[in-house]
Amino acid sequence: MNTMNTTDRIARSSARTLLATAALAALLGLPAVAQDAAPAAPAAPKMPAAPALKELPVEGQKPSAKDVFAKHLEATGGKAAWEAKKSMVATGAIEIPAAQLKGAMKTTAAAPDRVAVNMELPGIGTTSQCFDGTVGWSMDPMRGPAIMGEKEVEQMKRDANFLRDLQMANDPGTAEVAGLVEFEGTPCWHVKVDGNSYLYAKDTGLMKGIRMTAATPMGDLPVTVLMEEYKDFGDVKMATRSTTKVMGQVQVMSFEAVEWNAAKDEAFAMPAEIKAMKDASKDAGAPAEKDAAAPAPKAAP
Amino acid sequence: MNAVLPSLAGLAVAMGALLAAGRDDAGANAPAPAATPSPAADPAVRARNAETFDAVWTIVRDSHWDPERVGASWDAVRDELLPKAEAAPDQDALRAVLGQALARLGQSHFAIIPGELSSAAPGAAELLEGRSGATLWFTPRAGEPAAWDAIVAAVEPGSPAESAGIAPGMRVLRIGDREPGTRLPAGDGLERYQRANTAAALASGEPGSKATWRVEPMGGEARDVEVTYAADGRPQAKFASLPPMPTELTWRHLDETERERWGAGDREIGLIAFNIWLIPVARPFDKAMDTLRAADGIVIDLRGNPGGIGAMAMGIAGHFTAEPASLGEMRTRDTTLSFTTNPRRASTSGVAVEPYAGPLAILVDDASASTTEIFAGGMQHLGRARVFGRRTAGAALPAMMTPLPNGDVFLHAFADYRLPDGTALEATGVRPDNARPYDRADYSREGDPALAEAVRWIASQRRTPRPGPKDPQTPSP
Repeated sequence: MNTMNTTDRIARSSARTLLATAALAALLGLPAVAQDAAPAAPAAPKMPAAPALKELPVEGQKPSAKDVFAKHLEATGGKAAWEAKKSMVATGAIEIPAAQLKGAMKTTAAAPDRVAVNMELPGIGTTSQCFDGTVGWSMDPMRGPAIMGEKEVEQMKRDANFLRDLQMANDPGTAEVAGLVEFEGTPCWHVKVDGNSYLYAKDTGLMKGIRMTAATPMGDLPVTVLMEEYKDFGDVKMATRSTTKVMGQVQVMSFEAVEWNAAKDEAFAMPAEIKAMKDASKDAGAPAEKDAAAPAPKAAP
Repeated sequence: MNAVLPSLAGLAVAMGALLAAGRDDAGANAPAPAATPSPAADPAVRARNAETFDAVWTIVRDSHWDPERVGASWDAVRDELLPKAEAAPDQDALRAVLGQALARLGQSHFAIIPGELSSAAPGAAELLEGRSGATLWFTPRAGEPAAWDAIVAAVEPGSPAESAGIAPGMRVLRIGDREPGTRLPAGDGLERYQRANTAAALASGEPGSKATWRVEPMGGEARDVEVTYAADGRPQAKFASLPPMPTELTWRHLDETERERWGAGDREIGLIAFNIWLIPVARPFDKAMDTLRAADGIVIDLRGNPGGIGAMAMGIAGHFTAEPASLGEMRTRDTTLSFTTNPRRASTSGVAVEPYAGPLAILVDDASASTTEIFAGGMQHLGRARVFGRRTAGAALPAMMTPLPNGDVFLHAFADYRLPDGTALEATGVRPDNARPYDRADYSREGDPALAEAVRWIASQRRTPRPGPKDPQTPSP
């Protein structure tokens, strides 16, 4: 009855064992990176994210950061159109092509700075991240429920700023145009904000991508986001496809539908586990959550 | 089913790449690379072969964390083997050449996964081995440097092996026509993992098939017993390109007999075992902890667990760490990320709790690899757990999978992994805290010497009250 010889069986059994040995750490340990790259834009510098951007010669005078932001605002619908938007519910897909993973994604955002991102991936389940304007948390089947540390919350708060484009066009703060560069084959104005790089297509004014350092529970991570396929949703335009490159891996997020002013408060409600953790830390009079990446001292067995 | 077998010959060579530690020779159990087959004449085949080789070669060149390792010598690999790959007449021959190339790296987590084995492939679920329920372990034969004894290290209750009268401590002299202790690679690096995989393969067979095992009890006469391999009835999980994997978590309290036998008295000791780090075990682990949080000690049995999703180590470890703590770091060319534990402060039903602070023991063996090593090594390093059993595989590199032009999938490490003090786990493994290595007599006498020692250690620890509430909504198993 046994139709295989020993070598075959060893090979077959070894194959299965081998396949299970993959740590797949970066693939799945970084679900939070740049999920909402569409309307807003993230934060804080530190490490070189990717090879240097190729500088292009500038004819005439460089625009100011305010000019670049204003052109982007105009290109995506204009001030009046964006001022009428108070919230957004975007649905679409997330894909990690190398891992042959594809699932559903939903982003809910509301002014001034609330955001909730939910992803459903086969073999993984539901992963959520949320910032309710005060507290940031994540729920994922791998790490379990977690309240974000100060650094992550700071970044999340910036990401969640629903009015960011309007604000930046009005007051660019310390943002400055570093020059004209080639980014993914497109001449782009390179705008530096807080050490991160924002790339705006010279001809259309649309944001083409971001190079940034993302705060994650595992530490800082250089990330490049490419934004493409702008489409009209009502009277404004949004990138419907963003490709995130992180640690040699590619994640593709695509929006298929966007509803304006339709977000519900429930989308930002704390799950029971997060609420229990938050209440317990409040009862204990704990200060803000520590950064997860900070190692604890060695304990005795 | 046999249709997939030829492709596995190629995979075995890839396994050689994984385990040969720099040798082109893939080890005694792997078939030799295809000798001199007729070269491919079809230009389309040649082009696809070249494209596939180049994809593998380029991924390694661009993503390996140590540029020196993939410098001039890696260029030479391409010069030497690309023409052979291009001329490969079929998939198996191509995989053999790719295996030869990867063998030059001498590191774990570099392998070609045949497309036929991926979860998307029809019939992949039917490739599961039948189980005997026995775990074998190879130990050097006294006085014979190149020979090994196959010892029964464990027998699952109710398994075919138990029904056949096989017990821990027995020496296995023959399985069918194979003498288990022969043709094994020597060496103390990744070869240990190869021996462990061979041991696992020898203890399994076609579901429903029978094999005669010649076994010798301690101090007894050798005898033949017949083992009928049982179909693997465990639930299967699918993830990414991996084939369907048996995935199971069990947990319980040690019973009175066990506590008495190993001197635990009235200590309440929980035992959690899971065979792979995939998502279906995550929630059951959390639920087990809802109840075991009140125990006097917990044992996590990860023997034979080959790894899985690395990020899960941070979640499971968080049940036992009161503050975020680093289990170790993964290092790519330009980034270092910490595997930081996520302290678990809520039960599955939303009740605030503290992470478990009582004694924690982790059981491992030479088939415990990858994420298991990240978890066990990190917890041991933190001083948060004692590790018992046999030294782990030493195959602990973060890896990802990339589809190849020929339909296969390339499993490739992209980062080094180190404990917080810089110690590498790759090739070395996690060294257990046992008082001494177990021998055959220990298995024969104790049945499960690692569990016995873990229980004795827990019983020796000062008993401290643990106020974590038992979650009333969580039933005991």
